[in-house]
Amino acid sequence: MKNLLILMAFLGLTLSAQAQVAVVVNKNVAESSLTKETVKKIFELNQLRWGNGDKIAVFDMKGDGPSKDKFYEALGVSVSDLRKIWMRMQLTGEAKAPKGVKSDAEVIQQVSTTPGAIGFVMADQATDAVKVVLTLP
Amino acid sequence: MQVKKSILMLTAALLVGSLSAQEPLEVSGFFQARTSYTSGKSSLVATVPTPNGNMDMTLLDSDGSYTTGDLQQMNLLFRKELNQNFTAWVNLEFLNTFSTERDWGAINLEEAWVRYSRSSRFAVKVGLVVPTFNYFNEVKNRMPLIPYISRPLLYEPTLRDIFPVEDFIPERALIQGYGKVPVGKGYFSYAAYLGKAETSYWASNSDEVDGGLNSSDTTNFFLVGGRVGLEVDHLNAGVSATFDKDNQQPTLGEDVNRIRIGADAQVNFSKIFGEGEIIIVKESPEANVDLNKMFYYATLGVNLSESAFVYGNYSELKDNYIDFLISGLQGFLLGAGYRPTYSVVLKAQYSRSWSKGDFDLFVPQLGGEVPASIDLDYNSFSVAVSVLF
Repeated sequence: MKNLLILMAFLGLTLSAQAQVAVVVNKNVAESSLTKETVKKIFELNQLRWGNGDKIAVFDMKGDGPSKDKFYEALGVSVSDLRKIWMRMQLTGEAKAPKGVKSDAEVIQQVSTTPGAIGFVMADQATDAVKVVLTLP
Repeated sequence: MQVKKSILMLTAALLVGSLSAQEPLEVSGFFQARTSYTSGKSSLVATVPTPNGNMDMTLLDSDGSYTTGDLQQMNLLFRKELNQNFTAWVNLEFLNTFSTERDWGAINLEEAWVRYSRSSRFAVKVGLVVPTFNYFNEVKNRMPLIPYISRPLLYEPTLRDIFPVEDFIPERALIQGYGKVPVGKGYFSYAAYLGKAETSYWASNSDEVDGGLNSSDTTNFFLVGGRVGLEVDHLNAGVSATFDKDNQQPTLGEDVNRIRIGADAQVNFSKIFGEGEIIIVKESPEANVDLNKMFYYATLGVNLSESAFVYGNYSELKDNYIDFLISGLQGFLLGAGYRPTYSVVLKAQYSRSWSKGDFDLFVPQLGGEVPASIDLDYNSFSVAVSVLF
């Protein structure tokens, strides 16, 4: 019985870690952590620069995927609402729409090589090439 | 000589440095192609006095239908980040399958501005700017963004010949300062702008103007306007106002003071989206005429999924100076759309516009007004594809 409880606890922890989404930024970004509200501002294009004035380059996931669903659910925004915001900003010249990438690996690759970049991946996919600034349940 | 050479080299180095610091030119755009079937009728009947008593005289009576298909609109967008703080933007618009060879459509330089911005709290655009007035004015022509094929009455370009659009909304500004300031859990947004007089004051190619300049505005007055708004969670609302003059020189022989007042709101809550606005135009002519106008629209829609939506829209426009618009022109839209990707929207729409009312019609031959009645009713079914590239 005791072993079963330990096993269940272990499985629970593992599942919980797998279900988390990590917000990652380029290592040159000065911020070491971000709040959920700040990440929401950034993805709604209400914050276009980092604290030191550098421009933020936002990466989004193309199509559907577990990290995308969990990320936007955790932020409390719908993809269709965000699309409208991005398109309005793009078509009025105010900002670039976030660049779409196909996989967690591509997010890591793009964020690690683009100054001022931010993106999101499943927590277990984050590597040392990027800096994790927030983990969302 | 040595100093000149050094200055030259320094200038060249600065120029190269400046150019290399710039981001590449981004070229993008969008178009909307549509096919539509339209049918309807229009009639205008005046009651004129005759020696044998009053007689109804039909001045207009037409009905019919037609099917058409065209490239409704295409825009080419050019954006370049000149450095961290300056961005240049050009928006070229081609309408109705533009072709000079066949004399179709039109091409407009919609926007050309440079923006200075250090943060989202404050930015300034200088050049040819579409000013912020209510929510819809800035996005009325961004077809992939808006759900419509035909837009709410005031914003539908095919109706421009029926009423003076520029009397209701400011179309051009020269400079605009704007920004968003965080307040609590939301934002306070603002915009203020200055522009030339309305475009009917601008010289056209056929006008003779000293110096041969076209699009020059030789009046001494300006457009001044702005909007303040609040964005909180799922709600964005604001009020707008402009002050300028209406060109009534050809009809009343005067420049009439005009105030436009607007209010707008957009809401996105769960799967429901809605937007609406009202515009009231107050004019104060010296002549004893009523130039006031009013327009409003309301849209309510549902996102059936992340890719599909349906909506309904009602709009009404009144112009007390245009006989057949005194009783108002009404419009109704019912539509649906599907986005297979971010860049493509498939749209379908039913639209109806109608006007029915009585008014006094001025008849030059009689030197006075006679009672008249108008009855317009048009229906249209359209499908379209809107593509962002």
